Amino acid sequence: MDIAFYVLSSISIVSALAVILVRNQIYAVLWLILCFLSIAGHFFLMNASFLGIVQIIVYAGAVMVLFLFMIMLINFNQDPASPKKWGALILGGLLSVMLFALIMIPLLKAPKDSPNSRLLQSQGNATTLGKILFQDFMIPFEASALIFLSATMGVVLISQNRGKK
Amino acid sequence: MPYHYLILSSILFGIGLLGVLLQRHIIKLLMCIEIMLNAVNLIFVAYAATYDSPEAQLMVFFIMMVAAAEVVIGLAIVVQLYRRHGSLDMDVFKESSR
Repeated sequence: MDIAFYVLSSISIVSALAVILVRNQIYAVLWLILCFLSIAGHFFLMNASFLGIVQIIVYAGAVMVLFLFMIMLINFNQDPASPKKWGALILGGLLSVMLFALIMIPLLKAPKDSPNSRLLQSQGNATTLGKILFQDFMIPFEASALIFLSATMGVVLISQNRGKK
Repeated sequence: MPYHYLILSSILFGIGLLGVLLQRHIIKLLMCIEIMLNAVNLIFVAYAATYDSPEAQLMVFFIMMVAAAEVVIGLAIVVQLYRRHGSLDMDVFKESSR
């Protein structure tokens, strides 16, 4: 199990790095799909099988297909033409490295153990989650349906161009 | 404590943050936001497995729902920005809004 954890995490870190380093947008989306698939593998490893399947279907399927359509529709593989601003690059890099260090320093002091030693084998299958979802979390579920409805109406409203051409 | 998963997801969050701060292509910026959301989801599932609580996994489910809606709205806004400015470069937006 530990080997599976290390392999999956190296795949996810390398593919996430490739997303921000690759210049071709289509390749970046494909690397992002690989990253999401490896995170789905982590979910399966932690016995959250329902979430793994949802991750594959929703993220690696629907959302990434949406990204691919958008890139192919509006500009196929066009790099930013304006020159690089080194000041902004250095400032952004410094800020993100500082925040990353802020997260990592307390973590490095924490007690270490094997990746999957303390993990209880909690049930994350569709039956367990569905029972909780439709009993205790009924109102948030309906609220998320409202979120989707408003997202649909918002997209229709945003993407029609009235008057202005 | 799910030590290794915390390390992994903080590395993923750092990569996503670096991308958000450094990218100038707006679709790549949305992709980096997706990486950060997935890092947070990973922490939620790791703690759900540590403390044996399926409710945390449901929280991840809701985060996925909101992320899907957010991507849809964001890409519609990107299309409108491209119609208005003819580019996807953030610097172009900044220059033309002056």
